[in-house]
Amino acid sequence: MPRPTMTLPRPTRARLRAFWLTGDGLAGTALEAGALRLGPHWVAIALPVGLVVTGLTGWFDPDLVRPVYERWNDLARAARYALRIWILLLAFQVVRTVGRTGAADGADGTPRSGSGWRPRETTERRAYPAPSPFPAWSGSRGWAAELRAWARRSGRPWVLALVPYLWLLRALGGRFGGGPAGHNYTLY
Amino acid sequence: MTVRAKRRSTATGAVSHGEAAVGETGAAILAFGASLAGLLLALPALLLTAPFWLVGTLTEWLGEALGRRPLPWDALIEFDSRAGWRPRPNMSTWAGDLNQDTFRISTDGDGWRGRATLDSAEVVVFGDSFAQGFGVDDRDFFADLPTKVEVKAVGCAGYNMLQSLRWMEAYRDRLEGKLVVWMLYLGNDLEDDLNPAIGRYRQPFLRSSDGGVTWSEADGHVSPEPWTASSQEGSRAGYVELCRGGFHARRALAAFGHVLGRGADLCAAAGARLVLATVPELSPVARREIEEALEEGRRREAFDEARLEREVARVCGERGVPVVHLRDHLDGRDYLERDYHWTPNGHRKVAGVLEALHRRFARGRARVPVSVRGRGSLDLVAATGAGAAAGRSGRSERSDRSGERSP
Repeated sequence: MPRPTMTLPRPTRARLRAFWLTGDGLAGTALEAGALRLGPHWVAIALPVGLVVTGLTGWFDPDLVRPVYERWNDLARAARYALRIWILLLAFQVVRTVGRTGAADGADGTPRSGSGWRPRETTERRAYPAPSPFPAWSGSRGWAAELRAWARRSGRPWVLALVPYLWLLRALGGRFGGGPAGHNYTLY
Repeated sequence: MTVRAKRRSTATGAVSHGEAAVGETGAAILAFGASLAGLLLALPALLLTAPFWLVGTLTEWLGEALGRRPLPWDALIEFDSRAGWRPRPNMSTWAGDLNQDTFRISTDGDGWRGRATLDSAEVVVFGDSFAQGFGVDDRDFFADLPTKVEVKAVGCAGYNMLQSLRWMEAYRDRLEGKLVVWMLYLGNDLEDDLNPAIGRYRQPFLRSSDGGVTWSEADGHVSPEPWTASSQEGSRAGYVELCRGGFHARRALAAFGHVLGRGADLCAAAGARLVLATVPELSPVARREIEEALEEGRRREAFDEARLEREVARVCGERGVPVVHLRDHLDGRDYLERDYHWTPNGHRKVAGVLEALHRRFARGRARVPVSVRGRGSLDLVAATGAGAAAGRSGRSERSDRSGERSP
């Protein structure tokens, strides 16, 4: 199952071809559907031929695709940036709603305060032996299962309401490790 | 118990377990309600960005399916006591370039690419990754292109000139009557001659204890053990320094003169003709790195790439070795977009240059006019001291279109 992502990875030839085929296929499907419904019959017949020719052009010369790939990625990055801000704002509203009611440990309960939460005055006891309060965070169960277990253990079930946002923010995260793989050729 | 009352009791630490449970349930209900409302508000934004999600995810997935997994770099080479490392012999596999693009690489029983054998070849090319054809499939490699001459490439990524010289020595008895083209990548070969290792790979290198007057070749440290001291391949900053002249450049050029002289003597003794081919830094990625290096160190002043080529030509002239500057035959479009090496088109041009060089230097045909397909005449800097000292930039003696000048 591929991990959902908005932005495109480093443009290798295989990815340039994949991008071109994807775009060609998606645009072709939409155009063909429109042509079948609205346009004259000859358009619906000619369109697939044009799409195949376009697809083959990008397949055999992926360097032609590179500028389109890069422009698309610029747009995708801008859209991802805006969406990430929007999702963060919505997630913040969930946290603030809980905080303003004072219904959880650490919540301020003052409606006029920013987040509705006050800072801790002590350090999480479990933080001493481990650098993270989630010692099994990188366990084999995955982060969502670990969070669920932690919410149950710590008596904070409300944090599970943040899971859809965390999942979205993870998908909207930047690409790390954009450089060549460690085992890759580095001499020239 | 009201929420506010619960908050107060939490602050005093007097909350009972049962009281806390009620508060947390309320918090959970509120949180899930707010979460649902938020997701409904997120939905239009997600729908608006759906094309990006679709294209991004499908490209990633399809790209994985279409791509090939390259063999790790370590698996492409093996230890060699002579040169430090060499390409693994008898392999036919996929390697990856700096952009993680894969290319087909096949080697013969000695580890070298190229269809011809060393004995059947009329031209033998020594050098680093450019001579090895890094970044292109076998079918696009200059030594595998259909030309009128048989070309064998003896090159490996990361090689300095001393490593190439080691292979010349090893094949000395098989070079008679051949044209030997020694590729000098200006980007790092001059610097690498002075380095005992590249990363964790040990290599023979040159050292001088008298300020560059005499040089000795050091290889006592070469072993399969990883080099643990700090060491890196020639950098862009180093290239910039070479192009600015000064102590670093003088030292590197003196070392180059030593190793070139050894190669020239060896080829003369073996009955082969040696030509040096400089490989310029024209790839878009290298140009960007050079610009950054110039900006960072404010070293733009005195930076002159033509001067480096002139100096190389001068050294070649002193050793009686003709030099061809591939800058005259290649441009930035002949280099891969995200790697330092040549494109298939660049390889075609290099194959044309090699063919022209062979026509020029084949025994008994030294004065045959030479032309390189698509770019007019083959520019060769004179091998004589005077001509070579004049160097490039129009001040050197060069063959003209009719090719009446013989180096």
